[in-house]
Formats: sequence, structure tokens, C-alpha cells
Amino acid sequence: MKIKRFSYLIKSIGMVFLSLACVFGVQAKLRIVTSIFPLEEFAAAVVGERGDVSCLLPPGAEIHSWKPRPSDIVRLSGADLFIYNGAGLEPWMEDILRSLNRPRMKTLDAAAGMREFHAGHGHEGHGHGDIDPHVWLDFEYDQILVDRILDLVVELDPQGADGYRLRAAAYKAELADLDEFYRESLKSARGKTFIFGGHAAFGYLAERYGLRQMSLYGLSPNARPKPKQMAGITDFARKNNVKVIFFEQFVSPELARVIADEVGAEIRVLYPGANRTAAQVRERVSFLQLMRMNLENLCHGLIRE
Amino acid sequence: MGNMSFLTLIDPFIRYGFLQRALLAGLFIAVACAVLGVFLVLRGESMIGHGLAHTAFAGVALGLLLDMFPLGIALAVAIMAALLISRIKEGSGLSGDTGIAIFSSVGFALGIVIASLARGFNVDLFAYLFGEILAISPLEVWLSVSLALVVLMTIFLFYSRLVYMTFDRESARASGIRVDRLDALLTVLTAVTVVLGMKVVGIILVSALVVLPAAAGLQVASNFKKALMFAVLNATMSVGLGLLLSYHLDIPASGAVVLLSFLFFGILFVLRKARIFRSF
Repeated sequence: MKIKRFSYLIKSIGMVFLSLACVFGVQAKLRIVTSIFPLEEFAAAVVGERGDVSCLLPPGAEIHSWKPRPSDIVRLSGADLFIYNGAGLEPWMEDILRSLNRPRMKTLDAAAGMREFHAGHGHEGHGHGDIDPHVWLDFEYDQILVDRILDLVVELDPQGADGYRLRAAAYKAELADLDEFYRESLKSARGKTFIFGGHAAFGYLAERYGLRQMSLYGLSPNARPKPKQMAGITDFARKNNVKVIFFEQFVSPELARVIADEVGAEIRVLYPGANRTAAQVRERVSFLQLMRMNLENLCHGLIRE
Repeated sequence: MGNMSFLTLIDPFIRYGFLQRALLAGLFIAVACAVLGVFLVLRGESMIGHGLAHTAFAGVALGLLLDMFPLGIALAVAIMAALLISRIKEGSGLSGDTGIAIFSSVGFALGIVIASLARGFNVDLFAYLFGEILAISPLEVWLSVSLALVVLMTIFLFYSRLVYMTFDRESARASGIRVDRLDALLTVLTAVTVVLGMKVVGIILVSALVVLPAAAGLQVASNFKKALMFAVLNATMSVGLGLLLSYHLDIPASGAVVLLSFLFFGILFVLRKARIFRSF
């Protein structure tokens, strides 16, 4: 209730400024808000200097256990386009969109096309039930996402269409390169399995390149792993003489380390990519770079069963 | 055959270091909790473990925020709270559990605020709230063992004075025993025990390890020493069997341990009511 009234206030203030801007002929930049970092990078790659793209998730936060604060709602209430991941990754989203009550704000549900995409690639669809929300970890799907962002942005700002198209094409080429690089590097890899002491974020990636992800947590890191699961993974690691146990950025490496100590392995990081640390933001580490670092680490720790 | 199935039951505790560490730390903490619990329950301070654990939550959150050993900071915070609680009890004229009530909620509130500042470690915080027997480090095992030894030695050294004070505080004071110092000692030991117990059964349930075995022991024992022994027996059996059950049934260790302890308490309670044995 309070948020709603608050958002009305913000909106009316926003309207005043907007009309002033129109009167004085100020070219307003396209304002795009995204929920997670990869979507921010995709949107920024498309709009370039013609838009302001910002990400709700603050540096260092873990998306599954993060909730927006009042200042984030204010930011959303001024957005022309809100790009979110969907598939349950942002459980707070529906309530907030409802309370914002801005039917004319464009929204994009990134995971919405995943089921069809997946089915179209000869994978048996998961049918009903929840889909894995980690769609940004499929680099071909990411190219589709860039196209969908492009369509919306062109619709909002037709004058900049040419530039948007050029930039989108350039970024899609980079994604295609990344995809090709993964495929090439992993084709020659002798092992196919990796043990991940984080949550099962890399399902799409694993499927795409024929890998097997053995993760300690399920689709969200909020449910604690069970002792038997730890024991099972420890047995597997012992039997296959595993040298690397991966841990997840933003999830405590404690359990990965326990398994690693148990079997005499080392631990290495994998980035789910949904967010960056404050240091990575300062160093402007890109999503594409994170994914390349993942590949390098992965290649050190693939297990041949 | 019976032997075989017993072996399969305990086999995981032989094969996996993390389960061994959980068992070892759990058993020693259980002993410390049970011994302290008997004194605390008789003093009418059953809630102090609960209060100190909640205060320690602030320390855990701070430790995670600063990325420093959370258990160490929790320990410091809990000891400070313990001293303040005994100070409030002595100095303010408020009844015994008021200080506990104040500090447990203030500590928890502080923890929530600190957690919201960092925004990144909610998952790790859960491990402390509900216990995480899978991630007990060798250091934590050593801390638990030494703590249990310190508790037992302290109780042994001050035994008669502590018992005297527990049953008749005023006479103990009149006879020249520094009851306020003994209070502080007991509370600080409880703080340390509770903080170490947090990792095994979690902040929310650790006070059960202090209260339930002691209450069970006091149901049936004819004297103080037997109450202590029964409490230790209940606590160690609950932790040992609780961890076994937790592993084989895939249920949370904290819940299994506390429910078992309650089961033992219930059995003794019923037996006593039925006058099957009045006292041991």
C-alpha cells in the first residue's frame, strides 16, 4: 500500500520533469533497468551511448536471496524498459510490477522463450513444471535475447534504429565467438564431468557442450545439501581421483573445500555470471570475460569417468 | 547379522572426515551443555542459552560482513552479552530473565540489520541459524574438545561452591562466596558453549541442548551428581543417535538431535510419573 502511494508521488514528479524536458526540447535518454548483470550487459551492448542501462542487483549480492529496496522501486518507476530474467529467479518481481502499476512500461521476460528454444533443439522438453532459470548460460539463447532487446529498443526509439542494429550485430558476433570457443575447447577435452560445490546453475551450459554437472545444491543455493549427497559426491571424487572441486562465486566455498580436503583436491571458482563483485565492477570485467575465465577453469577440472 | 547392520549404520562415520568431525564436536559440546545445563535449570535460567545464541547471531553476521572468522566474533559478542546479562541481573532490580529477553532480541535485531548491509551472505547465515554439520572444521573440533575440558575442570574446581550457590544463594553469599563472580563464570562458559554448539544444531535450537538433557536428568536423579551423569548421558546419546538418524533418514541434524533429547526426557518423565522408578 505504502509503496503504491509512494510510487504515485514519484511518478507525478517524474511526469513534471518529463513534460519540462519536452517543452525545452531535451532529448531524454532511453532508461533501461535490468534485474541481473548479463541482461545489463546485453542491453548496454545494444543501446550504447543512447541509453542509460542499470542493474538492480547490487555488486556482490546473490540473486536468489536478494530483494529490492525502496530506492530500487524508485529507479524502476522511471524506467522505459525493464528486463528481468523470469522463471522464478525474481520472486519479488510480480508484486513490485503490480504496485508500480505502469502498464506502459515495456518489460521483457528473458526466460520466456527458453522452453520453445530448448524443444526446437531436439531436447525433450521438461514438459510442465518449472524451467531452469539460468538461461543466460546458453550463449546461443543469449543471441536471441539480444535480438529481442533490439526489437523493443527500436520500438521505443526508432530514430536510433540503425545504430542499435549495428551494435546488436557486433555483440551477437562476440557471443557466437564465445560459443564457438567453448565448443572447440571442450571437444578435445578428455573428461566430461565436473563437481560443483555450488547450485546447479550450469545445466544449459553443460547440456550444450556435452558436459555433466555434479552439483551440491539444487537449482537454488537456498536449500542446504544433505549429508548423503555430500557422501555420494565425496565417493565419486575419491573413485575418480578428482583433482579440482569447483566452488561458486557468492556461495560460501566451505562445502567445496570440505570435499576437496577429503579427497586431496584443490578448489577453483566458477562464475554463474548473474552478478559481479564490487572489485569486478571497478575493473569492468565483462560477462564475456567471466565466461572465458569459467572455460579456462573448467578445462583444468574435467573428470574422465 | 545384528552386527552387520550396526556396521552399515556407523560406516559413513568411519569413511567421511566431515561426519567424524561433526560427531566429535557434537559429543564434546553435548557434554559441556549438559553439565552447565543442570546448574542453569536449577537456577531458573533455562532461557540463557537461547538468549546468548541469539546475541551471538549479531557476531556471526558481523564476522561474515567483515569476512573474518565468524565464530570468533560471535564468541566475543556472546561473552560480552553474558557479562552484561549478569550485570543487569545484579544491578537493575529487574527479574532474572529480563536481561536475557533484552539481549536476545537486541542481538537478533542487530544481526538482521548487519545482514542487510552486506546483502550477499544470506545463504551462509542460514548455516548458522539451522546448523551445518557438514562444514565443521578441524579447528572447530579442537575448540569443542578443549571447551568441554575447560567446562568440566571448572565445574570440578568450583563444584561445592557452585552447588551451594545454586541451592541457597543468600547463605552462599553470607558465607563469603563471591556469587557474582561465579555467576559471571557460569554465564561466560555457557556463552562459549552455545557459540560452539551453534555450528552443530544452529542458533535456534542450541539452547535445547542446554535445557533438555538437564531437565531429563533432574527428573530421575536422587542427587546432584547423578543428575549431572544422566544429563550427560542424554545429551551424548541424543547427539550421537541424532547424527546417525540425520544421515540415514536425510533429515536435518539439529531437528533429529533435539527431538531425540525430548524423547528421552519424555520417557523419563512418564517413568517418574508412573513411579516405575522414583529415583536412581
